[in-house]
Amino acid sequence: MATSSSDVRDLLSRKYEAGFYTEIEQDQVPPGLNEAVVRLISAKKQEPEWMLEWRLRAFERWQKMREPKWAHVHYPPINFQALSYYSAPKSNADGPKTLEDVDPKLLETYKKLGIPLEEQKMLAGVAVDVVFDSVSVHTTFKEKLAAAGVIFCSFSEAVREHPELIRKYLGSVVPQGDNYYAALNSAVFSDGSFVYIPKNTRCPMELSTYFRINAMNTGQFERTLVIADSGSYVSYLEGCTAPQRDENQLHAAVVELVALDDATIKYSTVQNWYPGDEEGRGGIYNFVTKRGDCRGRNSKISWTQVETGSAITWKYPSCLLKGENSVGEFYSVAVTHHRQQADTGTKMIHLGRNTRSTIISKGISAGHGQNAYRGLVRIAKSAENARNYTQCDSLLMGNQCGAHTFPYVEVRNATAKVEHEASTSKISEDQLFYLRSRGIGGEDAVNLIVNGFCKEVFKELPMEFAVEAQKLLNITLEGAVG
Amino acid sequence: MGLLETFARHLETVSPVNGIHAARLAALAHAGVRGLPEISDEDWKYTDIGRLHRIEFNLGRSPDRAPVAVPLAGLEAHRVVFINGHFSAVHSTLDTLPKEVRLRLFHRASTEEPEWLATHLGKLGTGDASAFAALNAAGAQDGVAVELANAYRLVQPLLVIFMNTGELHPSVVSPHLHVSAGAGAEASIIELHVGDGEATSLTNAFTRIETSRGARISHYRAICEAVNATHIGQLQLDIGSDSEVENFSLALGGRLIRVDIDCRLAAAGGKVVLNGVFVAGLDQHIDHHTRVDHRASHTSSDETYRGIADGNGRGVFNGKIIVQPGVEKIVATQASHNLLLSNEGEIDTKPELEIYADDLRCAHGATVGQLDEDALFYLRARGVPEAEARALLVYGFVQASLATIPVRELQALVSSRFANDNEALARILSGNLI
Repeated sequence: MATSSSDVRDLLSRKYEAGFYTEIEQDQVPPGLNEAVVRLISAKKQEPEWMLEWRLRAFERWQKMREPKWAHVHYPPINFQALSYYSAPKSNADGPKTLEDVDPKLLETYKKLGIPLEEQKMLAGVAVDVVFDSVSVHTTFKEKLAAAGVIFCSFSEAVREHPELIRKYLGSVVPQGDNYYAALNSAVFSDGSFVYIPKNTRCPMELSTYFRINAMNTGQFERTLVIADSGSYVSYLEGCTAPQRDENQLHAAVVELVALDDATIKYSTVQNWYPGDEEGRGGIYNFVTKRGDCRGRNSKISWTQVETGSAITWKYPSCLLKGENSVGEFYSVAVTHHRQQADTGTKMIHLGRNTRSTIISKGISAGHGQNAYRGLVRIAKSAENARNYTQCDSLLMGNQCGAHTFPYVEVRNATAKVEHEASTSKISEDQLFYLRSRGIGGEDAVNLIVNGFCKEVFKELPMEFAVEAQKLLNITLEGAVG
Repeated sequence: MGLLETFARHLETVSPVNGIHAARLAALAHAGVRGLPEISDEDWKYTDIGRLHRIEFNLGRSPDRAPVAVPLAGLEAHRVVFINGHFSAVHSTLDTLPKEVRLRLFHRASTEEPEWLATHLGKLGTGDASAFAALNAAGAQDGVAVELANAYRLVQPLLVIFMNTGELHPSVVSPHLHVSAGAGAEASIIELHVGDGEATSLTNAFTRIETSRGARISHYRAICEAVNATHIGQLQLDIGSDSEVENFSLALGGRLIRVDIDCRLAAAGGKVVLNGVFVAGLDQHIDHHTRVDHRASHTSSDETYRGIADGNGRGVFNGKIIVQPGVEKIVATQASHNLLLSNEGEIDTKPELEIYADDLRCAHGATVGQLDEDALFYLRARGVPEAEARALLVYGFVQASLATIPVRELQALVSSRFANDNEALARILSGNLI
């Protein structure tokens, strides 16, 4: 009844399911980064002068910065001059109006991934803003959202149509010089999503962006900005998958969230970029800066992430808890298999009174994977009655992998209550025996245990996403326990 | 003028004596290569020692002949006392030591066994010895190395006191204690660092304990330095197979205290217990960094630190557990509990795990909080005045660890130091509660 060894070999040698590459005409800037490239990107996107100046200031900052080395990951040095900083699908100069206008090859790509756009229109309330490499080519459900006053569009469109909002909020959460990759992103960001939820509005549907990296040697630099005005609510889903390739790709996105008085933002991510092959060749470098600003009273920002892909992940979705009674949450499942490396976690910066935060982090390491949780909980002097609870557990599958925990706790107010607990262990023999003796063996038993381990995080995901995440996890860990 | 230059200048003034001087110079060079830590170093993120570079230290302190009261006078123990870096024969009781305990004093070894001393100090000038460990070798005027014979059980504790008496000019002392326990040996060692006066002195202490198969060592290390003193303590524990070492670090007195505990479990069956209590009061900064390296299978570690920050005091704890690739059957636990009693104070705690194997059970926990309001109410409802009630709860918090120290005299010493800064506690301990 146990999985036979040939089955296991089969599973182990299984290729990345979403690994394919669609050849379509690309409008690409030659590799290299200098001021001219920044100007070119801005010009290609027909940006106003202030946007170009903003990019140039960021570029100036970036040149003076050094690559961070503190993360618990190892990779060969990145040659930033060998990357191309802009690529856009060519054949849609004026942008498609309907699905028929979209390049059929593009649509085919999504079909292979199981996200048919035509059907999605009819699916329960999910609007998809598809980012294919650098330019948004299709946006659905726009009218319905517009009726509610919600703005959900590509970043370039927002720069043109809503400059006052962009100028007010861009860089207000993640400043240009925040860190090396954020500065790089600020200089060369290609496109991304912009969301504005007006006062006292509950966004009528869950907003979703599917990212897809497609061109060879193209760094992808999305920029996402979500603003929830007073009393509003929005749930935003972000899911990614990428085709197979041999050279490492750099991905340095920036996500900024702003929650004003009584507003709530729920941001969920399922990340399944190409992790490289069993030997660690290829795979995406995912160096992302994500930060939410609970600016208003009673505001709430909740991050949920399921990270199964990428060769290297370097990601710390954070919350600045400025408003009184504001709440920050972080729920994470991070999986590393084969030669994957992840250094991920969160920062909860408590500044306002009665602020609360919860961190639940589940790390799974298999094969030669290295998985690190790195988190910061800081209670500032001004944060009376702040409360934090942190739990980070690691599950080890195989004796070649690693699980690491680096939690920083800094408390400067005597009314704070901060708790941190962590544990590391392998799948217990007792649990496996229990399941086996009831006829559940091999991969099924492992999946059951792993899903149980991650349950606290999965229950935070929207339903459709939770199903996808669970499936992804099972596929990712196939062959991890023989 | 930097600290390294101060040492270099001092070594120039000492006339070269055989290989020992060369070993000291090599150690200083090693410290220079390693570089003294800065706040930009991840391990020194919370502790700034920049002020040490701005103080003009005196390194060659002469022995103080004035009579001093040495603490723990009532304790029945074998005593080795150093005053201002020099061995004090009057306060020590070497003649009571049995022949199974071989004790070498550096000042004697420099003439009797110079090669041994040169080799001994030379070990701190190479490899991965930290800059402060190397500086200790460069500057140690005197020190002690103890060898316990196989299967020997030392009944009375070995009490090593490093005392700094008041002096106005800032000075550096480099206390050095080395213990190696033979197979099956047992001993209890108390290492006490005490000081008085107002001077901005620096104690740069180095302690190493290595055990052979089946040896059991209890080591109590208490820091009660003078108000303006800086104490840098490097402690290395190298634990043999089936051997058990228990370490207790008590940090009470001193303006800036930094203790690095580096524990190696490189043989099967090794076990370490690390306990710590620190109380950072007015103007104090107390930082403990511990590192437990599980390099062999079937090793275990258990660590509990309790810290208090009051006034504008700052307490730092960084505990790291490493499980190396290929080892199995590891049990490691770690807990850091902290009380923050004032809004001017700060607690920074970072319990780390770095694990490269899968057959293990590791867990850690950290808490930062205040006194339990319900417990306070309980005491107040029974007529205990507020100040006393608080003092009682704070004392109870540290007592949970202190009570495990089997040496009553040491417990009493710590309690009385504790009560020095807390009148209510002093009233309780003296039996005048109400």
